[in-house]
Amino acid sequence: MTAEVAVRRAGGLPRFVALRLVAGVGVLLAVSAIVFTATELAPGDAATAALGPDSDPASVVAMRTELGLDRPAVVRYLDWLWGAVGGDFGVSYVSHRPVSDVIAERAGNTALLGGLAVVLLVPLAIGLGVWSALRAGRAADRIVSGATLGLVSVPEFVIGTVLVVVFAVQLGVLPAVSFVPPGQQPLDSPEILVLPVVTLLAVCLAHNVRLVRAGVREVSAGDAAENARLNGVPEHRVVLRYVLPSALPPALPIFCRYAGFLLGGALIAETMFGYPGLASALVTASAGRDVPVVQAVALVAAAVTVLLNLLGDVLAVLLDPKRGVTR
Amino acid sequence: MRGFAGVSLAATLPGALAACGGSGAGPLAQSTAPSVEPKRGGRMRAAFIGGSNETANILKSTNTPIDYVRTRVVYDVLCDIDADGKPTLVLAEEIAPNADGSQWTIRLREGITFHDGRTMTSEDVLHTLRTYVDQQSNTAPLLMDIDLANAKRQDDRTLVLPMLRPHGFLDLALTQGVFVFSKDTTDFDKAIGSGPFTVDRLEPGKGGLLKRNPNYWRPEGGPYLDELELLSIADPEARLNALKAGQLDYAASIPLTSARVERDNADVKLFVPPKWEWANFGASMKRTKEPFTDPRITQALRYAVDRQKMVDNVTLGFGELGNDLFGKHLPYYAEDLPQREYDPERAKKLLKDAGMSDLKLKIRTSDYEYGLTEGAVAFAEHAKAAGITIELDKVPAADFLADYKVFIGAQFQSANRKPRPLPLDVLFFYGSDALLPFTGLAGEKVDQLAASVRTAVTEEQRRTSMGDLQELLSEEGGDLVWARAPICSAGTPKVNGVKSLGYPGFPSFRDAFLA
Repeated sequence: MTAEVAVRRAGGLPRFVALRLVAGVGVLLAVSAIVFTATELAPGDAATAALGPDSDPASVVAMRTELGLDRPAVVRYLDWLWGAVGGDFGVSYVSHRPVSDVIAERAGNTALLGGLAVVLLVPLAIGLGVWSALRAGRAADRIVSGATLGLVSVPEFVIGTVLVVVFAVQLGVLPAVSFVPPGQQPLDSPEILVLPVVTLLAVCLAHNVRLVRAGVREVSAGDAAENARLNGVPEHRVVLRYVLPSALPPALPIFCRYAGFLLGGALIAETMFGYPGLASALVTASAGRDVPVVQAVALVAAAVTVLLNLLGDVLAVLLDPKRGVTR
Repeated sequence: MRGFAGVSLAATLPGALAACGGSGAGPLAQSTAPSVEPKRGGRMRAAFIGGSNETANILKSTNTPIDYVRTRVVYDVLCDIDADGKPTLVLAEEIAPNADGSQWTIRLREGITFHDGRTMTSEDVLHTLRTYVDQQSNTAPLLMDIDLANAKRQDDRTLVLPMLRPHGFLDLALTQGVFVFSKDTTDFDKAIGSGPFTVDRLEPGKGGLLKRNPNYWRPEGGPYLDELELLSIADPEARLNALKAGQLDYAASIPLTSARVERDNADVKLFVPPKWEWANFGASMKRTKEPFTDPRITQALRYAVDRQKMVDNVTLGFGELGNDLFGKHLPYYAEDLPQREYDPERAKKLLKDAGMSDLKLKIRTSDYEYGLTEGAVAFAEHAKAAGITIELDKVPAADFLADYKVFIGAQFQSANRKPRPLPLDVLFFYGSDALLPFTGLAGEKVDQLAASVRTAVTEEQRRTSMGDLQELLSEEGGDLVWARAPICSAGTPKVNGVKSLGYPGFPSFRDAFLA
């Protein structure tokens, strides 16, 4: 079902958005329940994970009581949920810091990383895609197509490793690890952002360049553009007036969904480069069975994904060339 | 995902922490005895395994390597463990038992000053010990035998500790992360110490900046560095890359595989700890669970492992043979017991005698650190010749240690134990009141032997009791130690004077300098 049909069924865009937001809340509830159940099923809990293999069983029991882990799972879940509704995600089992503080600090760092990637992704994807499409079959297009095909099939961690070996270890021009010294912010040393952003961008960009290229080629070979060319319209005007307005709108909603996909990439990039973001917080928290933090990060990630998908759908509707006719 | 090893781990008692190591031929620096004259000044940047449970809290200082490293230089211990595995006095000028170990006397050195300028007294030491026990800190189990309620301060520098049960080596127990802090401490995150460095900035999860304590009370040795920056980097590859890219001066705990790659790199100096500190690669068999209740089965498995191959392949040629006992190269280690050889025929015969010719086992293992899975795979291969089938039960790294009961209770499990001074190890692992009964070995005979180790006060008593116990372990124990290998760290060629003093994964930087 296209977004357009869904909007018509919902009876207009505002109602469509409202319905989707309600559904999004439902998704978040489901996510929270799944995450909670998963952490319950995993072996060990925060007490055993924090106290480690050498801990005295008595102190494990004491810590369980202290953390309230001895209460039934349902009670703990509802307790947590009730707090979360009021914006209180509780306290980390491990560091005893308020989870909202952890999230706030880390989410800002990840947003910086992802934001930079998105800001670079859109113009680069459009630029390279269009450039390559208009040179279809020529050397430039071959290079871009070959490179993107190659990148699409390489996992992020391989790209990251190669980048570190070349730029950090061999050339020594960029830091190999993006740590943020105590008392500093990532922007105090922006060079630490370069390699994680490039790693994050590489795969996404390759996907999107191919997408744009395919769209542009299709429209460029279509009747309207061919007609214009036959009528002697200069090529750059053909591209600007006929090709891009039809080729780009379908790509934008997909960009939005890709921004969600960046979250997964961030997980790899952050852990590879030791960058203190949300994704690496999730990794350490799940290893430490720090349920409140895992829950909160999962919810934030799910919420961002839901919102980006919604944005993509709304954009798809707004940019639909048939929209003027149907409404 | 091996890089996340250690992230979830909090070792209560140091020496069980995650680290992987390696070393071998090539230009290696022993992390003891610097060959260069110490030089003052500069900032050293060093990275360690951290984790989500990093904390500034003195009572949880053994949670993660990075916390431990910081605590080791911001505070002092009564006594440390030296490169030979023997206790060496720091704050104390004497730690001595009476004739039967029912009472210990600790006498402080003169003129020890805290960072706030106050002189340390026996009251501070007693307050520290009581706080550790009352607050159930990680080190509390080590101090359980002290009758703290009846401890007496004889004078400002002397503390008399009666014991709840006779105890022969409180001095060794005090080397295991018992850091003395001031009785004026109100906030455990900012406990007042007496060490060679003070905390300038600290952010658990990221790291901290330490500054030289210009008034450090010890006349000899460091601190030499003006500043020591500690950074928490979980992934060993990332630590090493940061070192090679010039972001760091020291990267702790690098895997054997990396050590092999960097061995001939002139820009990277490998630090290799003294042999007694090398990790014990092997497996643990639960003597209380079938089929290991029959000692013929455990002995068969010990003959079914090709130790030389383990050294060549799993420790990448950097290690040495293991002989199923902990404590090699330490005082009281049973050197005289013959080295066990690979003898699949003998293993077969033992199994046949036990009526288990068709033995099938499942070994619990993980990629938690280098060597666990690799060793288990190799063992399964070696054991085929003895007709033993070993299947791998591989659990995710984050789950391997997550559940205490599962980890301690496993029937057959990969192990990579970091050594501690021998009598301590023995009491942790064996007997009815062992804290860590990995092999479950207990019973009247074992308990009696363990008790005689615990109460051995004289050298002669220690040697005899340790010898007897190890002889029993060699025949009836459930530990397999097939190889030992170092936990290596890497640094730039300028780094000197880093001493592991018992813990290669979180060494002491008190005497470290850049030259």
